[in-house]
Amino acid sequence: MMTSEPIYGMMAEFDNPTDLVHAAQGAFDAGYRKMDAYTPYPLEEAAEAIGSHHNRVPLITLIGAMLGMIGGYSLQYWVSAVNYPINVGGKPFHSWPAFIPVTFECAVLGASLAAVFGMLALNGLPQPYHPVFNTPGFVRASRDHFFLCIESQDPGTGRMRPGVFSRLSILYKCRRCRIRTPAQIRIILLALGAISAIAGCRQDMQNQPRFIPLRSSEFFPDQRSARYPVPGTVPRLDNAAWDAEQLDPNSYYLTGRHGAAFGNELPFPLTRQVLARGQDRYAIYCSPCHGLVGDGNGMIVQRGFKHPPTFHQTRLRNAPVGYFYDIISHGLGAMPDYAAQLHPADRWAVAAYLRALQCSQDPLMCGANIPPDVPTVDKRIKTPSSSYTSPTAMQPQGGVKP
Amino acid sequence: MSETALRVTPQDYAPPAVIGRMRMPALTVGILAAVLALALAASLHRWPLFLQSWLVAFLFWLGLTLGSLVLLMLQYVSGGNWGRVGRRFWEAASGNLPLMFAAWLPIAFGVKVLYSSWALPFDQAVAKLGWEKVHYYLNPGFFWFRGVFYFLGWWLLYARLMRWSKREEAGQTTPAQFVSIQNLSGFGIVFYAATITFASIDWAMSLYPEWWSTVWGMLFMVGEVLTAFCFTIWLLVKLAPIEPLSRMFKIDYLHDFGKLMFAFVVLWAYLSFSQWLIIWSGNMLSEIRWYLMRLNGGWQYFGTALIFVHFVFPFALLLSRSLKRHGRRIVLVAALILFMRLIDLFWLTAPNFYSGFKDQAEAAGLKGFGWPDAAMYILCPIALGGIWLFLFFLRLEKRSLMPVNDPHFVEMLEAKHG
Amino acid sequence: MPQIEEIDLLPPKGVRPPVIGPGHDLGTATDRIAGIVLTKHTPLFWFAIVALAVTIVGMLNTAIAYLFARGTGIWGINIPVGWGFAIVNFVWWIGIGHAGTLISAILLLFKQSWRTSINRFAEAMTIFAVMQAGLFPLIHTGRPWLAAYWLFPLPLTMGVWPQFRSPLIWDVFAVSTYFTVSFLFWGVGLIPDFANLRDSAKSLVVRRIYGMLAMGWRGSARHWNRYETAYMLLAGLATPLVLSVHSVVSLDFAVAVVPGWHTTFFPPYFVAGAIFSGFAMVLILAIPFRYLYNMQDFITLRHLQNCGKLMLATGSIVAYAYVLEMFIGWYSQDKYELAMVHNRLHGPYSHYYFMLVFCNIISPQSLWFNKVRSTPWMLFVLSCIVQFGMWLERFVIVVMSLQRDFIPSSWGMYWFTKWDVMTLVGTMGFFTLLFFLFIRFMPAISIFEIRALLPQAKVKE
Repeated sequence: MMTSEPIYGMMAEFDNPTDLVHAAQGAFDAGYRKMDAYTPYPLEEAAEAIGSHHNRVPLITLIGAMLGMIGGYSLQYWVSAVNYPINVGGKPFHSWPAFIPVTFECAVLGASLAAVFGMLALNGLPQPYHPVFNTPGFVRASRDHFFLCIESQDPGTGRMRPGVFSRLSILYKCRRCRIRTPAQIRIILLALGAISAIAGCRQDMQNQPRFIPLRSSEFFPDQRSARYPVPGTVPRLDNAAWDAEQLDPNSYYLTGRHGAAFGNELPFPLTRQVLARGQDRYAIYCSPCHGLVGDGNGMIVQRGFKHPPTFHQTRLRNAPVGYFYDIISHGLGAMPDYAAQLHPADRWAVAAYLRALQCSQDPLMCGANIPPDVPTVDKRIKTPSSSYTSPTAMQPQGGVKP
Repeated sequence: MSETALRVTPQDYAPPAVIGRMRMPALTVGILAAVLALALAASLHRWPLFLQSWLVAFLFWLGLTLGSLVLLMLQYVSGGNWGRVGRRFWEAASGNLPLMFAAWLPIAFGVKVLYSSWALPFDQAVAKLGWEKVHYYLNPGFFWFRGVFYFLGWWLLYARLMRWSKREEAGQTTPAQFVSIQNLSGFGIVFYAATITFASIDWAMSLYPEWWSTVWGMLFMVGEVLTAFCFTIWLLVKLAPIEPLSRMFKIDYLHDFGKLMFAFVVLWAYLSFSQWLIIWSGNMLSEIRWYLMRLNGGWQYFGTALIFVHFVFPFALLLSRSLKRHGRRIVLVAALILFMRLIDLFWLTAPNFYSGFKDQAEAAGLKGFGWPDAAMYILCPIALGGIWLFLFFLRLEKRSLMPVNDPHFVEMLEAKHG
Repeated sequence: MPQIEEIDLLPPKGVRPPVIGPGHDLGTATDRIAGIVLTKHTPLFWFAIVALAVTIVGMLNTAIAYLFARGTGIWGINIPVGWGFAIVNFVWWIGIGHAGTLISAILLLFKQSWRTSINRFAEAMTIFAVMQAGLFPLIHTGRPWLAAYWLFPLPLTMGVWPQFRSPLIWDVFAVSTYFTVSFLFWGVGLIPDFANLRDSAKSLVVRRIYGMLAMGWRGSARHWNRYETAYMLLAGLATPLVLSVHSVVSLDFAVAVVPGWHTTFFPPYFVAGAIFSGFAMVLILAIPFRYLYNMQDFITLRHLQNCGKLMLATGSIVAYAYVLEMFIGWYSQDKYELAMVHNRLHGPYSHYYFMLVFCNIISPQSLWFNKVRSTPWMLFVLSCIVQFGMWLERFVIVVMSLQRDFIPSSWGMYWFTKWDVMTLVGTMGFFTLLFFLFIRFMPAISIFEIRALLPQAKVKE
C-alpha cells in the first residue's frame, strides 16, 4: 500500500551475521552504495562489505593532541618566563623538564576530547529521529538481529520493489526542559550558608594563651610582653673578622657618611664577588619596583605602584655611593627602608651594583673608550611605557642550567 | 581440515640457508675488529680505554642475550602468537650466555682498573666510601662472587627451559608439564629482575660509587627487552618472506612486535625522564654531579641526541599503523633504536672516565675524548658482536624455526589459511 | 540456573576455564545483563546496602561540614607531619582507579578477550574512585571556596599564577584529565548499551531516559566503524595517561628532598602499586557481584584467575621496590637515608611497616598457588588484606618520612583523629553508594562486547 510520503529505503532483517555479510557483499557487487548495515555489536566484515573503510577520527585526534600540547606548553612558558617570572628554588624561568608533565596531560586531554566529539560529530549524533526506527522489529537491531538497509536515494533502487514504508515520524518529543531547583536543594544550600555564617562567628584561634608581640602581658610587672636582652647578650654578626670599627654606629660602614657628607667609596675592596652579590640581592629586593635595569619599570610599577626615579639620570649618576646606601638603610618617600632585609655589607654591594647598572647605560660615565658613532645610551629604556626585562640578565646563580 | 593434512614435523620448518651464509662474515668482521681494537690498545698503551669500551660492548650484547631470555620466559607466562613466532630466536640468543660470561671475564679481571673509584686498597676505599659499604658490598671479592652467581642463575634458567623445549620438539611433553614451565618462567622473571638490578649496580652504577638511583635496574631491564625486540624485528623481516616462515607468517605478528617496540620505547623514555626530573628538581649535591658530568663538556650533545633520536623520532614514526606493517620501514626504525641503545649505554658509562670538573680532570691526569677513544668505542661492540652473531646463527641453524609441537601452533596455521 | 559448584569447577591442569559460560546466545546474554537494570523487582539486599551507604555518606557530610566550620585543626596534622590522612587517602583512591583503566584500555590493546565482562564496572569503579580522590584536594585546606584560585591557572590574586615547577599543579591537570578521559571512555562505551535498554524497556519514561542517553544510536555499521576507531584511540591514550597520572602523584613526593621520598623509582613503583590495589578492588567488587546477581557465566573463574595473576605480577614489583629501597638506602651511606632505613625498622611506627610487609609482600605470595587463584572467597580475603596494605604503604611513606627527617630537634609524631577516620570511611560509603546506583541503573557488564565474544557472533565463510 503506497502513501504519498517519501520512502526512505528497503530494509532486510537477518538472524545471523553471516547472512548479513553475504547480503551486503551481494548488494555492493550489484552496485548499491547508499546503504547501511545495523548490528548489535561492531562487525568489521559488515562495514567492509558496505564499503565503509577508513575514517577521519585518527586525524581529528592527532590535531586535538597537537593543539593540547602546544596550548599546555605555551601556557606554562608564558606564565613562568614572560608574564610573571619568579625565581623559585633557583630553577630557571624556562624550566622545560618541569613543564613536560602538564604538556603531556593537555595533549592527552585534547586528543581524547577530539576523538570522542569528533566521532560523535562525524556520526551525526545525537540524532534522535531517523527513519529506520520505524521499521517494525527494529528494536532487535540492538539485541540479536541484523539489518541491511538500501536507501531509496540510491540510483539503483528504482529497479527494486519498494517494501518498507517509512515516514519521518517523530520518535519522541523532547520537551523543553527548564532546570528547576528542587525545594530540597534550596534548603541544603540555605543550611550550608547558615553553617558557614555561624562558623564565621566563633573564631577560637584568636584567643590563644600566648604572647602576642607588642601586646600587654599580665605576667610581667611592667605589663609588657617585649623584654630587653639580658646583660651580656652577644649581638649577632656573621663575620667575626670585622674589626671593632664596624660596631661603631657612626662609622662609615654603617652610615655611608663622612661627617655630614656622603662618601663615594666602598668601605671594603670592590671585587667581582661583591658585584655578583649586589646583583643577586638587587634582583630579589629592588627589582620589583626599580626594574631589572634600574629604569623604575618594575613589575609592581606596571601594576600601579608609584614610579621610582630612573637611575639613569644625571642627578643620580652624580650621586655618591654613600647616598644610595643611606636610602637603602632609611627609605625615602614611598620606598620603605630595607635595613631588616639587607645586612650593611649587602647594602654596599647593592649600591656598587647600582653603579654598574648606571655604567651599563652610560659607559662614558665609567671611562670606557667608545668610538664616537656608537650610541652610548639604550634608547629603549628611556620610555616609561616600554619595559625591557631580559630574562638572561636575571638567571639565578648556582643550580643546574639544563 | 583433517588431522593428517595438518600434520607438520619440525623438519618442515628447518632453517633456510641464508642463516648459514651470514655466519662467516659475522665472525670475520668480529675477529678483525677485535684484532684492531687490541692492536690499538697495545700500541697506545691504553688498556683502561680498552676495558671501558669493552664494558659498553659487554653491556649491550648482554642486554640482547638477557632480553631474549626474558622474552622467552614472558611468552611462556602470557601466551600469544607473537611469542611463539619469536621463541626459537630467543632460545638461540640466550644460548650465548657462556660467551657473555667469557666476555665478562676481562671486566672482572680488570676490576681494579675499570672500577678504580672503589676497587682500591681497603683503607683507601674505606676512607673514601665508608667501612660498611666497602666491607659488605663494594669489594673486588664480593664483586666476583656476585658476577659468577648471576651468570650461574641465568644459565640454570636457560638450561631448564631449553631442556623442556627440546623435549617438546621431540613430542615428549604433556600439558601439565607446560604449567610447570610457566611457573618456572614466572619465577625466572622475578629472579632476572633481582639479579639484573644488582648486576647493573655492580657493573654500571658503581663506576661512580658515591651516586645512586633506585630506578637504575628498571632502566636496564627495559633497555634490554627493547634491544631484544628490535633484534627480533630485524630477524623477522629478514626471514619471514622466505621459506619456511612464509608458510605461516602473518603481517599481524610484525605489527604486534612493532607495537611492543613502541611501548618499550615509551617506557624507556618515561623511566629516563623520571630519573632526570626527580634529580633535577632536588638539585642535591650528592645526586646532581652525575648529570652535570653528562650535560657538559660535549656530552650534552649525546644527551640531546638520546631525547630526539631514541625517543621522539621512533615515537612519531611508530604511531603510524602502516609503518608497523611494512617490513623495510620498520626494520630501519628498529636498527635506529638499536644504535641508540648503544649510545645510551655509552652515555651512561663513559663520562665517568673523561669529565668531572675541569680542575679535577686535569689534576687526575685524565685525557680528553679523542679519536683513539672514539675508534675503540666503535671497534669493541663490533668485535664482540661479530662473535656473538656467529654463535647465534650457528645455534639457530641447528633447530627448526617454529615450535611445531606447541598446541597452539595449529591455530597459527589455520589463521593463515583458514 | 546451574549450580555454583559446577560453574566454579576447576578444569584439568593445563586447560584454562572459558571466558563465557556455555549455552548463551545473543538474546539470552543480553537479557541476563540488561535484566538487572530493567527489572521491576529490585532485590532486597540492594536496598539494604544502599541504605547503609547513605548513612555512611551522612557521616561523610558531617565530617566535611565540621571541617569547613572549624578548620583543619580537627584533623591530626601538625608540625612536622603536615600531610596526613588527606593525601594518603587521595593517593589510595587514585591508585584504586588505575586498574579500571588498565582493564579497559591496556587489555583491549593486548586483545585479551577476558577483559570484556569486567571492563564496564571496572571503568565505573575508576570514575567513582577518582571522585573520592578528588574530594581531598577540594577539602584539605578546610577552605574550599579558595579552590579555584589555588588549583587552576587563574590569576585571581595579585596576578600570581600557579607555580608550574611544582607537582601539585601537575596533579591538578593529571587528575582532571584522568577523570575526563575515564568518564568519556565509560560514557562512550555505554552508548550502544543505552540504545539496547531504550529498545528493551517497557515503560515509556524509562525508554525516554535511556533514549536521550543513547543519543539516537542505531547500530549503523558506518557508525560502528568510527566508534571502534575512537574507542581504540581512547584506549591508546588512556594507557600512557594511567602511567602519567600516578607518576605525577608519585612526583608529589619524589621531587622533594625528604629522605624516603626523594628516590627515582617512585613513578614506576607507584604505578605498579596502583594497579596492584586496583585489581584488589576489582576482585572485592566482582566476587560479591557475581554471587549476588548470579553472573558466574560472565565473570568466570578465568577472570578471577587472571586478576590474581596480575595482582601477583604487580605485587612482585611492589615487593621488589621495598627491598630495593632498603638496599639503596644502605648502599648510599648517606646519613639521612640510613636514618630513614633505621626509622622504618626500629622507629615508633615500625609496627606499621611490618604490617605493611606482611600485607603486601608475604600474603600475595599465596597467589603463586593456583588453588588460591581459583577460589573466590580466598581471593576476596586476600584482596581485602592487600587493600589495607596499600593504604598502609602510603601512610608509611607519608608519615614515617615526615615525622623524622633532617633535624632531630624537629622530629615529632602523628596522631590521627576520629574526623580523619570518619572522612576516610565516609568516602568508602560514598563509593559504595555510587557503585550500587550504577549497578541498578546502568548495565554493569558491557553487553555489546559480550555479544561480540559469543560463537554465534562470528561470521562464517
